[in-house]
Amino acid sequence: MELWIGAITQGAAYALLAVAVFLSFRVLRFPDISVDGTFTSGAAIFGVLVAQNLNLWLALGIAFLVGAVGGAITGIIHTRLQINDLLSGIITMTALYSINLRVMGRSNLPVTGAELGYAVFGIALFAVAVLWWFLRTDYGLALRAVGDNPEMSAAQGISVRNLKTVGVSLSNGFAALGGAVIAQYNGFADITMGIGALVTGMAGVMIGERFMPPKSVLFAVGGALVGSIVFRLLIAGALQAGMNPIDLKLITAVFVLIALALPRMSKRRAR
Amino acid sequence: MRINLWLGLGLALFLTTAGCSKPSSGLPKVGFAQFTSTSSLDQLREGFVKGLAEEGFVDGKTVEIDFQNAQSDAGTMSLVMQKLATSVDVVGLCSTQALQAAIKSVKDKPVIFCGVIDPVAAGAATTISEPKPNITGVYNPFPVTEGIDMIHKFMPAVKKIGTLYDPSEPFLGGMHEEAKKACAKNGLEFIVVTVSSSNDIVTGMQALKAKGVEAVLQLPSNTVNQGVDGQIKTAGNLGLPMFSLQPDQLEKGIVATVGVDLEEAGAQAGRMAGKVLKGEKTSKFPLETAKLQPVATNPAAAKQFGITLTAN
Repeated sequence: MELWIGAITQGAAYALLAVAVFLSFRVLRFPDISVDGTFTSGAAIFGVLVAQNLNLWLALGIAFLVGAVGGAITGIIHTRLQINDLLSGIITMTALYSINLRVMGRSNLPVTGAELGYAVFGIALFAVAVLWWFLRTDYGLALRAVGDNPEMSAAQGISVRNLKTVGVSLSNGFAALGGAVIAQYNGFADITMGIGALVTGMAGVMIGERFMPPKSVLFAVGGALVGSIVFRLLIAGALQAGMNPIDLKLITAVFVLIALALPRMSKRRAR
Repeated sequence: MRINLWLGLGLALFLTTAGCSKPSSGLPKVGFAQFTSTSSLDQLREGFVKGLAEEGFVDGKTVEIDFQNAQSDAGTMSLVMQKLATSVDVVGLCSTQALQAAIKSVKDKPVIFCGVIDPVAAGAATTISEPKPNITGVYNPFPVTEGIDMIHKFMPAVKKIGTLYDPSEPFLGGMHEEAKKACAKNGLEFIVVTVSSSNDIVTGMQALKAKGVEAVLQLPSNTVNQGVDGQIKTAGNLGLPMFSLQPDQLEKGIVATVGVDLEEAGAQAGRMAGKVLKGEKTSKFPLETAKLQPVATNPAAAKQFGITLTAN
């Protein structure tokens, strides 16, 4: 039972990453790979601060801010220096690798002490609620417009450059918060933990879209949470299935494929 | 759309419970987890299984071993440990990340580790003599000073010794400090070139040569191990004799090695696990260091670089 509860809790933690990827990739249409760096940054900063006995919530807040700064840098590189979106993310991610090593002082840091426990769910739900609320404000609406149609938005007097930067910054803030929560949950921060963060987040977003078609903002944002939890449950299922450990990723891939294909297939039959 | 959601969750649940109903064999259960697959970690695992067998626990006959591998994913590592925490009697593991996940998730089962360089830095112990109550194991600090002394003995004229280094690997930084100190003591200089993946090894070796390095003492590194054959070949082309702290690499063309017998280190941990399985408390076992093998030489490689291997 602990395994399933663990997988659901972990899914909620990874939902922060999925929400981050949802904001950049789906809302802004910005393939932002800097989350691979900021995810680890959040974990690194959080680990160092907690080791200094800083208040847990304050440390989470600082992790969010650090991630947001990283994202803002990507946004500025892209919008002000006119560098390709993917490349701006790669630049930030590459730089953050060294910075994260500097922050931790070594490549791996135990994160023990303060426990979040089920507060992980609270944090994930809070993030979903905040983003839901934000995307429905005038400012959030403008942000969505920038992603949908930048030319049109510019014609309406929206500062596309500023909004993109703000959006990417927020997204990376969530990614760093996710990194911090996961480091706390796993018990360590590791320099390699961010590798593939963008892909993991995307998996959560897309699985979520299958189960909760994004017909409203709430469904779209909430889908990231649901998708992440389903993804972790599938990995837990692959572990529980008791196969040769070498096949773990293969089994996970098959499970994800079935999970994605089944709703579509049942719908076709109903028709 | 609501149907989709329930269908999806139901499916996830079905898939996840499908594997639950494995018949119990009634044998005692041991879990063994590793963070990723490398030849060193695999040797430790094989050693662990051998050590258990020496205590009378043969896999499939008198004990059931549940092997797990997180395939380099920190999230999966946690799930692996949560699974083992409830399904086995003793948790065995190798690699630092696995140990850290176990500290977090396995609170009331005995944990026996191996393949960890620094258990204190990993968070498993406050000092080497005070591990957490349910944790013990075998750690292997690498004999860096002995390695430098070995090169100094074989090649007394050498002034600069170098290594390749991937800063992303846990706890290797300390070894470089030790190597620098050991070099300084002998009046030598220690040169480090950074690589970030196994693709950088050839360039890294050329950089070492360009910096005037005359012998390479490759400090243990998973990244470099992935391309060690290429590294040795490049070393041959550049005329740089290679030394190592991993005895299993000797045959590949290393001049001499001094180091830990990894399989034996795994076996030490396996024997501990066997004794714990028989009912002894983990707190009875202090942390052990892996045993050192004496200096081993490869005469063919030495001849290639014109090094005379002195007896003793």
